[in-house]
Amino acid sequence: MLQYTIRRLGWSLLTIWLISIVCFFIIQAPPGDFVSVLIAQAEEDGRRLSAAQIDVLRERYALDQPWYAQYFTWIWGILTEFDFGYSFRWNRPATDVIMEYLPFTILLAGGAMILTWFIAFAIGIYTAVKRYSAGDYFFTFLGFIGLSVPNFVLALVFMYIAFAFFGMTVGGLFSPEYVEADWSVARVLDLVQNLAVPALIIATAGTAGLIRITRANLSDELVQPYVVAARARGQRENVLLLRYPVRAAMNPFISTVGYAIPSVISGEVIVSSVLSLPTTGPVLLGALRNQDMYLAGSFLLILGVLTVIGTVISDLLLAWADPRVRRQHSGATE
Amino acid sequence: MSEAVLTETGADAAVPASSSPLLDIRGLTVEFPTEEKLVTAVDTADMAIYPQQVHCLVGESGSGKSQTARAALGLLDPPGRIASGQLLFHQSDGQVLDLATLKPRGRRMRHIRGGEIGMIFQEPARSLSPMHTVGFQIAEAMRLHRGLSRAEAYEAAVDALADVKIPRPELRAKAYPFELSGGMRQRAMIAIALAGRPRLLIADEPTTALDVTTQAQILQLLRDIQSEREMAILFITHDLGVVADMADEVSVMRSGQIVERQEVHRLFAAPEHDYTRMLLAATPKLRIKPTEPLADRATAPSTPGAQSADAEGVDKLATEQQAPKQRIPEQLAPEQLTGEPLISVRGLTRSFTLKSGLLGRTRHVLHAVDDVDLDILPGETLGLVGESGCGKSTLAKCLLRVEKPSSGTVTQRLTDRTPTEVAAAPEASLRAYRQQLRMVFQDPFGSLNPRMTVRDILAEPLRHQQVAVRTSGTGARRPEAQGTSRPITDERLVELLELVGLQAGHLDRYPHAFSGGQRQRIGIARAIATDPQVLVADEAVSALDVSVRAQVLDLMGQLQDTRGLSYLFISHDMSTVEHLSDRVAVMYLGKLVETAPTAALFAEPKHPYTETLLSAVPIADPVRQRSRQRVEISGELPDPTKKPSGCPFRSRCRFAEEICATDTPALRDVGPGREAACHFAEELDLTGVAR
Amino acid sequence: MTTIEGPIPEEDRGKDTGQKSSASLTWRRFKRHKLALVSLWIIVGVYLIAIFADVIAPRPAGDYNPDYPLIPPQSVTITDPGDGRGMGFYVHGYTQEIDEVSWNRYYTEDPDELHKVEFFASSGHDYQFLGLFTTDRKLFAPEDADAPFFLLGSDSNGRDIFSRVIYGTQVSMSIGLIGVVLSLVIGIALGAAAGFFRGVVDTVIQRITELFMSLPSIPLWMALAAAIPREWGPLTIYFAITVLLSLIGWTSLAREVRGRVLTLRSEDYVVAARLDGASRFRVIRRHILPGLTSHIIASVTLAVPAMILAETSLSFLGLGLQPPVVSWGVLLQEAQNIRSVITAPWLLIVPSTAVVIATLSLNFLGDGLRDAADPYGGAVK
Repeated sequence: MLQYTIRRLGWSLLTIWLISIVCFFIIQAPPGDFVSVLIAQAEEDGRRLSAAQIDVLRERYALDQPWYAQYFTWIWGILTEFDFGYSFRWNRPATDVIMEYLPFTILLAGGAMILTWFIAFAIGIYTAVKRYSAGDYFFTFLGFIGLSVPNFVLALVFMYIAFAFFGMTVGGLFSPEYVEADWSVARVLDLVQNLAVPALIIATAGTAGLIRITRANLSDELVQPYVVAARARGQRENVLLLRYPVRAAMNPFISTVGYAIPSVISGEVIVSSVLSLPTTGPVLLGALRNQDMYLAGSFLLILGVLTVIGTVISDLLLAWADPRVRRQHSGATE
Repeated sequence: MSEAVLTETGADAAVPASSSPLLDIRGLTVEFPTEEKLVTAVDTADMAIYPQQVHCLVGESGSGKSQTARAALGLLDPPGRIASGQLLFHQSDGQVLDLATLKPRGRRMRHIRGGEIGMIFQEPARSLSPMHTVGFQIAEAMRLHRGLSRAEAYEAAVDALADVKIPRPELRAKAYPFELSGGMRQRAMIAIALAGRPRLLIADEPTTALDVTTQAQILQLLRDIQSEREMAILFITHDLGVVADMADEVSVMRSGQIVERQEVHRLFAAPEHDYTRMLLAATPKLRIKPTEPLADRATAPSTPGAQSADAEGVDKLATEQQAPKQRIPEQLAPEQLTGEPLISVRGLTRSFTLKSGLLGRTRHVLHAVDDVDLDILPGETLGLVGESGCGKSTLAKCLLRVEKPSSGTVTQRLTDRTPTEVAAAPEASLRAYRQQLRMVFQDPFGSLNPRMTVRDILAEPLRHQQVAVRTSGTGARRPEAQGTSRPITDERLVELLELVGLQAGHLDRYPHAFSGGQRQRIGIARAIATDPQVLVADEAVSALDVSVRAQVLDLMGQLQDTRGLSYLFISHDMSTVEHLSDRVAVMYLGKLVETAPTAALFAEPKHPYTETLLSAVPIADPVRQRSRQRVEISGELPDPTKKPSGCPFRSRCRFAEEICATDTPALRDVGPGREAACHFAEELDLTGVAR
Repeated sequence: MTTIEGPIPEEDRGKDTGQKSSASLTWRRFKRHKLALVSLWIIVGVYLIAIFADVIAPRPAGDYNPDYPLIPPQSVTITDPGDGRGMGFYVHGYTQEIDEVSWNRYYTEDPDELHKVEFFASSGHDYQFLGLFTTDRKLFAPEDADAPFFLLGSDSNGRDIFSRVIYGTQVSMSIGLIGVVLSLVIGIALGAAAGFFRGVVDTVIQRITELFMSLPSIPLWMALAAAIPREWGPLTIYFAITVLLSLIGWTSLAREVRGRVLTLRSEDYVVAARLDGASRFRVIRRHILPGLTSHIIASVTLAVPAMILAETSLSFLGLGLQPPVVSWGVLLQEAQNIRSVITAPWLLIVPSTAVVIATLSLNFLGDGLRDAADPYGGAVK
């Protein structure tokens, strides 16, 4: 098990490294280097950067050196000083901007993830056990609707309904009276309330796929001989259902949830942009539109790393949950 | 429900009149309504199981035997339902309960399940939840039926494992099913079924998925438990050998109907129904050679009713249900087994490296085939037997070069167009060789491309055919292959189909339109299309029902006679091998342990493993089977990656001595045409199968 | 020597099923899936609309009329105004009112002004019919070419939403299709290579696939799309976006193909083909690929809606296609903020309905195909 964990972590480090290269190239993609953009920006504002300032910046980001040296400088800064570069639009270190917005992103994505799992698992079990019933068709159809309607349309429709029928303006993570307030139980509750709807909107996209997987797996498990065998020893239907087939169907579910994380992060970016939530989504969008590439690249890197961590956790969970995988990875038995 | 009249087929005499039946099945009809049609899986079946009796329910696949048992416990898969009939069960308190009227999920039915009637299944591997320990699953049954606490139940589970003779029960209770061998899993299932101290045990093909030595051990265990606990057993099987071994009373089922019910000795001595006679005729019995063609004795049974019950999805054609003809293979006498071998295998080894651990640094080497020497002689049928995992299929794959041997040589004298040494020959040079050495696969469903018509399937080998040129030494018995440059015409394909008993009309059909037996015929036609000299048949008839199997064996024998084929016939089934083979080779853990002419091997084995194997095979004759001298079968097949040092069989051998652990015995001459790999082959007096 | 007994009766399982190929059996299973069958026809219809967009859309995509901004969907009445124009479909004209305080303009339908809608009418807008000949006949158009005709409302520039959604079909539906074809090429090549050659090739390809699967696709798309130079022409951007979508979208296809190839290559019938002397190329082409097709078709069908959604989302955020290109996502840019949605809900409702109809149908279709593709699922059990 330890060996498996080490191997799995090794692979994920490799993945993260590859992601960092992709991000670096995205940062490099727009024409002109970062400093020339900064000069142009300053000139627009009517300021002039001194030649000395420019040289310092050039050296800091190793701009006069080949790309791999630039990459190394960038990644070294991140690893040692947690320096993600400089956001010229915010006129602040990118790290500051990220730190301000990331917590809410994690909160929202985490909430959406949990909702996705919960809804998908509950509906998955229901539709598998009641196969071909009216309820099965209803929920399957609902899942497909969720899959087919773009997230941002849902968000807009939700805002429209809230405004047109309830006269509420939606947006932001806090109601007006709590925006500036100190943390309190009431403020947390307000936050949870405001997070619920965006989280639900994000969750709609990922659930359909998971419902289908759960339904298919559980349907397979339900006809397994071990279910009949449990019945034949006199166990109650509800107990044996949860104890055996549902337990077995958990495994493919766990191994898939990791791959729902990218979709949740993607959904979060779009939904937050539409609902103007103070999360990474709108900031990333703004950074991309304005070619604020250090900020954009850093966000991308962090979102990628978060995703990788999520998939690692789900893989390790799987190994822990499934005795077959657990034993297989622990090497020799007895 | 009106009182069904119990009609018996003249078997009343066999029923002990003194006691009343434990389970009395009257007029049971089980239906599976589907959108298209109503399938009647069980059709007004009557059967009575008496206390302390082993009642065998025998029939071919799809006959409805499993559904009968499942109906008794309310375990029919949807949409199955009991349409009519009674399942009268005499409870321990003397009350008679009709199980057919109980709600399948009700409390009373749950009490019956496990508490009054226990059940074990065909596939122990899949009948235990893979996510829970064996101990947990036994303890669950203990808690349900004995009202024990969690801790008490677990202790009881460990004791139960000891009762079913599992060594080190404390350790096994903590194991997951996939960590146990097939035999141990079935023992664990038996422990679960017995947890509630039931008075009736339903065993649904409990040994079908097991190796023959394991089967013998499980049957022994069931017999012991049955007499110890004074329990009744309803034993469902397709294997008449097992019936002869276990049964007191036998019901024969066909197409959902019970066609005959008899005391076991009477059934085998004087079967009354045509179908029973046909089944008996189609079953090879060890060491009994018919003096006249069995086909003349086995007459076709009349077709019962128009309703064909194939609830298990097995389609059988009318012909295949008709009487098979048992060919009497003209076995070659030992002195006839001469001539230069067509294929000589020397020192053949195929090993696999299993990686595990960090960065795959820990490696286990598995020698699936370990230093094997083997010859295939012209015109002979060489039977290759052994239990699952012994390497017999890998050996065949190495011969055909589907797998590349790790070391050793395969020398062929079949064609000039391929190098004589094929073990390491380049893939591109093998085409001519593979036309002379052809393969018939085990799985009649997986071996035919579902997207091709029979025409395309048969044309495929012809399309790539090259003109075969024989080397002088081997073509003597056969005329030179003709027509290899002929175009692929319909006549040619029809000719092939007719050779295997199919017709021109089948040419444009897809495989899914054929039954298992027919598909296997198509597979044979494909194999002989290139006019080969040697056919490798890897468990080619194992997936078929007894009657269909007999027909296919018949066909193979006939083709051998008319076309001078040599066969490498691989099977786990000793009876079939004996029936067809001239010579038999026995494999154990990748090693060849004995080769001998068939009659000699069965009468007088020279290797202790062969003796064990023979002793484990149940003979389809209750008189002979029950009077046999049996060899105690000890232990289980070791993990192939952890073979014992020296002789691989020493861990289970009753004659093992020190030398067996240190020196690996080589295969050596021990008599005319006989070889064995045992240090004491000459000294041991081993038990064969008496006539 | 005995002979094989008796011929197999002709009527064994009914001649009809025996000669049915597996493709036709798949089709038969598919037809049982009613929802998928309906979806198939809807998808065929949507692609027909894309092909004949010029004929169906009453106005060219860019045609605007500053006199009629943000007109709500028009009502069509069947009536006979009694002025000799006869019974037929009519739409109303508009009267404009200007709010004195806010200077907002409001439009109300004028009950007296009626414009007749004619079928196969001359619209005054020339186009090339499928590149064959020039005509200005439309499926339907107002008799008076300049009459306000906004079946599904107009946008802030007075452009006809209906016509633009029809034209958007061309871009949105084709970007999904072309993107999937590109993904398919990458996916099949890599998946088949991984599945067939195994070993190191497999490991490397698997790792790359996993890398791409663990990337959050929308942010990555956004970043890559943002890197596309603005000065590129609409067509170049269109292709760049398509390439981007497929660069990231191939992973699930590759996984699917690899899994199937791994299963198929160990099938007995594939081994049998090898032993029959078929070359490696023939084994792949004749024995492995046909077994893949139904699964590939199903996967592709399920990948198209994902591509459409991705394009829509990107364009909506302003990072994908740019005006004057018309796609459903570009149309939805008009519904960027809640204020415009509240003023003119049809800006959101009409294009997103088109998106949902297309993606929902494709999803149902793909689902039905996937169920039907499972070969012999019912027969073997």
